[in-house]
Amino acid sequence: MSTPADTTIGSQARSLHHVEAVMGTSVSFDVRTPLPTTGSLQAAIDWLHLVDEVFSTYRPDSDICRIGRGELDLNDAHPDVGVVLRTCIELQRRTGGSFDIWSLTERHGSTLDPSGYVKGWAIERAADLLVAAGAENLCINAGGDIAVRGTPTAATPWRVGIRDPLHADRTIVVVTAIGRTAIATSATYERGAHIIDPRCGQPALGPASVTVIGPDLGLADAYATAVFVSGSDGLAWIEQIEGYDAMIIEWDRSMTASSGFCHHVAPTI
Amino acid sequence: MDHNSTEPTPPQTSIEDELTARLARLSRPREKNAPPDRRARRPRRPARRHHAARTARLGALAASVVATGGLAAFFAVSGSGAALGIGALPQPMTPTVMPSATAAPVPDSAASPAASAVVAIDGERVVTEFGPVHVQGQFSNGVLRDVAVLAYPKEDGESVEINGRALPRLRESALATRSAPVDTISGATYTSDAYRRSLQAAIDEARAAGVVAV
Repeated sequence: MSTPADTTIGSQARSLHHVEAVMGTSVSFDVRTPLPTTGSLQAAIDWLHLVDEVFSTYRPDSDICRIGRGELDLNDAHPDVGVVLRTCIELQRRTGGSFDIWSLTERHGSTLDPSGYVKGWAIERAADLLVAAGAENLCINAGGDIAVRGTPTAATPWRVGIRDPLHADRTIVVVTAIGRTAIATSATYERGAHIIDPRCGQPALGPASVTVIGPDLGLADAYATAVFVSGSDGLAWIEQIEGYDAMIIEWDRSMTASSGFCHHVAPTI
Repeated sequence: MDHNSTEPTPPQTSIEDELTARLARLSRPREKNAPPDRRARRPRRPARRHHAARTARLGALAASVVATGGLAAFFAVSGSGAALGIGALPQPMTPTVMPSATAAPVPDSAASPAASAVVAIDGERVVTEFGPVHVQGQFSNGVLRDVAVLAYPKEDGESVEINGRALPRLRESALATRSAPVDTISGATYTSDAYRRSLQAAIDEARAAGVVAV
C-alpha cells in the first residue's frame, strides 16, 4: 500500500484511504472529502517521515539523538525541535512531573525522548495540512491515537471504539466526535510495562488503559500518559484541564471517568 | 511552525532557562542508574498487580482480526442469541477451541436481511501459549458488523462483568458496543506487529478492498 488510492463506491463521495508505515507504527488515513489531488495526501505523509527523521529515538543520526548525546546544539537543529521541547517542558510542569521527556528509559544513549508528545503533535499537523488542502472530513489513526476533523458523513459523527484492554477482539466503549477532536489511549497490554513513572523511575503498574479525549492529539497523548502513571489522582487532575476528559479502565474492566467524559460516549443504540 | 491554539503558551523566559539548563545537563556524562526516588511511588495492591501481569500477557498475545463488540456470531451459534442479558456480559471464553465449522459465521440473512454483500475477512491465525486464536471480521457497506471466532483459547479467572463502580452510561455503552459499528479504534497499538493483529488493521483492509464506510 505504497500509493494512496481513491475509491468510489455508489453514491458515496469519493473517499481516500491509505496506510503508511512511519514513526514505528502504522498510520491510517481515512479522508472522506474529495481531495484535488493525491499529492496533498503525499505531502502529509512526507511530513510524517520528516518528523521521523528529526525526532526518532531509534535513529542515532536524528536531531533528537544527537541533541541527547550533546552533539548537536538546539539552534542548529530543525526549528520544530525547539517548539516541541518547550511544549514538553510546559507539559512536565502542568502534569506535576507525570509527563517528563528527560528521565524516561535510556535508548541509544539518549535520555531525551519526546515521542510521547511528538507523534500526536505530528498527526495534528498532518490533519491540518489535509484540511488546508480541502479535506474537511478526515480521520487519522496512528497506532490507536486518533485525530479527526469534520464528520464521516453529513449526518453522523465519527464513531471511535475504545479497545477492551483484556481482548484485542472487542471494543468496550464507543465515543463519538465531531470536528477537531483527538482520542489517545495509553496502556501496557501490547508492550508490557513500558510506561515509566518519571517520579520514581520505575515502570508504572497502573490501570489497564487510559483514554483521553480533547482538541489536540499531542496534548491528549501526553495527558493519557500522565493519568496512566497517576491513576485516580490523574482523574482529579484532568478535571481542571479545560477541554480534556479521561476514562480509566481497570484490569477488572471497571471504568471510571472524569465528569465530562460521558458527553462523548455514544448513545446506546 | 506556528503553535496550535491549544498548545501551552507559557512565560517564555523560565521555560527557556529550564530548557537551556536541561540541554546543558545532557552534554555532561550521565550518572547511570541513579537511585530512583521511591518515596513518590504509589502503593499498589499485590493481587491486582498479579492479575494485571497475567492479563497483560494475554492481551499482548491475543487475537488477529477482530470486531466491535465481537463474538456475536459465536453467541448465535452457541444459543445465547441476540438477547444478551444486561448485567451479565456473557463469558465467551469457555470452549478451548471453536472448530471453524461450528463457528460458521456470516449471520447476514438473520441479522441484516436487507444488507448488501457481506465481506468476510479472515484474520491471521495466531498461535499463543494459551492456544490458537483465529477470528474473522464481517463487513457490510464498509462497516464492521460482526465477528466470528474460529478459534480462541481458554482463559482462566477473568472477570468480564463490569462492576458496580462503572458509570451507568459507560456500562450501557459497553453492552451496546457489542453490535455498534465504528469508524476507527483507539487502543495502545504501538508497534507494526501489534497493528497487524489489530481491529484497525481489519478495518483498513476492508477499506483497501474497496469497501467504504457508510
